[in-house]
Amino acid sequence: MSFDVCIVGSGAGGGPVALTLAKAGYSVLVLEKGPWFTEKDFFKDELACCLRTVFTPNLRDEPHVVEVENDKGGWTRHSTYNSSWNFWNGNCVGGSSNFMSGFFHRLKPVDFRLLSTFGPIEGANVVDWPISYDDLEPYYHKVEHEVGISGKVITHPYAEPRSPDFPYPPILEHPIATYIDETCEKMGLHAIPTPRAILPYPSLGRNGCTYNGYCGSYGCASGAKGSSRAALLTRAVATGRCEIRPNTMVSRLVNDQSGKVIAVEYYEQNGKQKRVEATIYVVACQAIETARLLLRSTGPCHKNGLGNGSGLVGQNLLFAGGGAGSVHLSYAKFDKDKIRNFGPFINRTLQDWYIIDDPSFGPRQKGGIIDFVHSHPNPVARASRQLQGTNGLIWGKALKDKLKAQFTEGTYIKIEAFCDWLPNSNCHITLDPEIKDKWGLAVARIRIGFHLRNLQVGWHLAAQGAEVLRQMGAEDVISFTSGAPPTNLVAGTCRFGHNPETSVLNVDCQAHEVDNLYVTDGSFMPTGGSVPYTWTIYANAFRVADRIVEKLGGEKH
Amino acid sequence: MNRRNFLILTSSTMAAISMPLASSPLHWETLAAVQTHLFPSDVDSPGAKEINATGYLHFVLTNDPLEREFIEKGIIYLDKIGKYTAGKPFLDLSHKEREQLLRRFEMGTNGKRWIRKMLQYILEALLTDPIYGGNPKEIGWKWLEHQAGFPRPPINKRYHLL
Ligand SMILES: Cc1cc2nc3c(=O)[nH]c(=O)nc-3n(C[C@H](O)[C@H](O)[C@H](O)COP(=O)(O)OP(=O)(O)OC[C@H]3O[C@@H](n4cnc5c(N)ncnc54)[C@H](O)[C@@H]3O)c2cc1C
Ligand code: SF4
Repeated sequence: MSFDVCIVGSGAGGGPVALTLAKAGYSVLVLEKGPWFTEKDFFKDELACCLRTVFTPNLRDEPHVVEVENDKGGWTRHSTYNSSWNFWNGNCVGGSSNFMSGFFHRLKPVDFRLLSTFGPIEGANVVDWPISYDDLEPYYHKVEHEVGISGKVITHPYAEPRSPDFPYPPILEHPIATYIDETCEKMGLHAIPTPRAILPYPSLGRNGCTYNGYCGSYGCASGAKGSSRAALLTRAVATGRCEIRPNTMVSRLVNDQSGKVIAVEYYEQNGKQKRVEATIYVVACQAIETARLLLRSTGPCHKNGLGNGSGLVGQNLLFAGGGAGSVHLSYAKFDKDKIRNFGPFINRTLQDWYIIDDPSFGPRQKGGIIDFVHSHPNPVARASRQLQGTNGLIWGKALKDKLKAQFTEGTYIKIEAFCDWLPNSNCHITLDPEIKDKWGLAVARIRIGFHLRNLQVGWHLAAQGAEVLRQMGAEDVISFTSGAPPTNLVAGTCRFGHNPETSVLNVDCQAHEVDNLYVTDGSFMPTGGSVPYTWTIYANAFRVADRIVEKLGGEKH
Repeated sequence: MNRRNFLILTSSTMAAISMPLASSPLHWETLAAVQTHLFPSDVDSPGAKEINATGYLHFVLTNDPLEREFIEKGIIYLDKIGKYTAGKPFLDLSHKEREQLLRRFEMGTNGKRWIRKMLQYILEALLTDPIYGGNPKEIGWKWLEHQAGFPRPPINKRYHLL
């Protein structure tokens, strides 16, 4: 049997396409390498979510190879098996979106025009996008309704123009949010309720949030979190026109003399290899795996990888740049009953430095945002961080005393600052010539070079966030930045653009060189913007889905 | 034995030593003693014994053969060094001698990795859901005033069964 559309990867990039096409009357097949979990499989179990490989592959079977710069200016390589790195973020139906925290921010008009607004930056491959904010705005709006986003519009100097207010009010807030609001007001800053892909009450056939305090990294048992699975794929399947095949590892997009894709080749869980055909093929495996799949799908017209005539597949990999910090609110100083309160969210964001216009910092330039969040509540992770002392491991009574103080004398808040991860020629994916996964496929080699500007801006933003909390009365205030990327926020590797020589995809996210191939995860982004990516990934995937419907001849009914 | 040789000995890969890997009662007794040393009981707080660290470790190793090999090689090796340096098995060492031996063991790369894993599993026994055998009656959560999330995992949905 042949399908109208075959989508590889069922996460944030795949879901909108599956839903739109199935609703428009087309037959859709979604191939997903991981299993199909539902609300009935998600529990607040730190072992399952975070300490063992349940929702991601075992790194013994499927590692990545990481290249980091060494002191001598060369690159040191290691396999992620037995290292602390892990570039898998959630491999099951719905992908990483099952496990996200759902902090949702739009890009702003300036993010589509970084090059023309601020000029080139040496050592960075900054370009303008081939579309504008206005092209994407209706789709950001659509995501608010389809996925369910809660929030509240606050006017401030860098607020983006937008359609009417959010369809859902902000989710319940922690008392600390009020402390932050009061402090920001005194400082002349604009604290915004962070928009979240979380339903505050039952809607869209899903339950509302249960406010149990464990959200990011956990699958959602209520359905309130707007994962691709809960919000989109369930509805796509309900049309009767969308089939999801879990435990299906796509090994290759088979292409022929015409240069077009003619079939998808995949492995079933039992190791059997199969093929399936479709009219249109959509890849949404998350930036790293998408590039890896295209690079290994060579063919008569695509000797260097599918759609890779530009040589740019895998290049300009993006993470989220930025800085971070943490502070302590001691029970000695703050009302214990109030700040111990556990469940509702702090949910505050500052965008006052979206553009940094401060001569003492440098020329007017792109900045970013600051989120204030609870320190992750996972107790084993929190306790493990106490193990390393200055002179070696800590154990015995010393460890117990440290644990007691860490857990019972106050609350920790985290500052998460996001700035652009500048695209650069030392941040990319290639196929590793030596290491193979359990199917014998070359694993992705990830070179992680970062631009110094990331550190400067990240440090600046984190310091501003720290200052707010210091003024609020927090203690043990630390803020910092690092070139080590957050491995859960990934984009780039197949940038879109007008020119086939300088981009992989065209404006519609269709491969310049392959008429029936689209890419709809975060890979299309030529620059990342200074916010987490998922709202933009969802919005763009809905936009591309409309183009695919048009290409197939419009809605069927 | 001089310090230099000792360092070479502890940092050589444990995998190189061939040892029988049957988990004899001896190893479990020694492992339990190491856990008690790393996480002692106090009047006002639970130790390895109260949190069932040994039972929990048994559960972990049953489900992970490679990890089991690493932990077993480590304990055999630690005991061997103890016998070599102090002339006694770990179980017969005084508290001070145990501390010295573990601190020395920590100086080798694999020794440090091994102790870190032992500590990690102790913390897991202290703070993961009681359904896995550690943290009986939520003793660890209560001690650290920790509030668990919900829904909690039922017996048929423990991580190794998903
Ligand atoms: C803990 C955590 C917190 C996060 N918090 C936020 C947040 O607050 N805000 C935000 O905006 N974003 C957040 N994110 C990021 C968000 O989850 C991702 O941006 C988003 O899910 C990316 O969508 P995607 O389609 O690119 O990838 P995914 O959603 O990961 O989907 C890709 C899917 O493709 C599958 N796949 C890969 N290769 C193959 C293959 N060869 N064959 C078949 N299937 C394949 C994968 O198994 C996976 O299921 C968070 C992520 C994590 C892990
Ligand atoms: S119920 Fe609420 S807090 Fe819990 S995972 Fe879902 S969205 Fe997050």
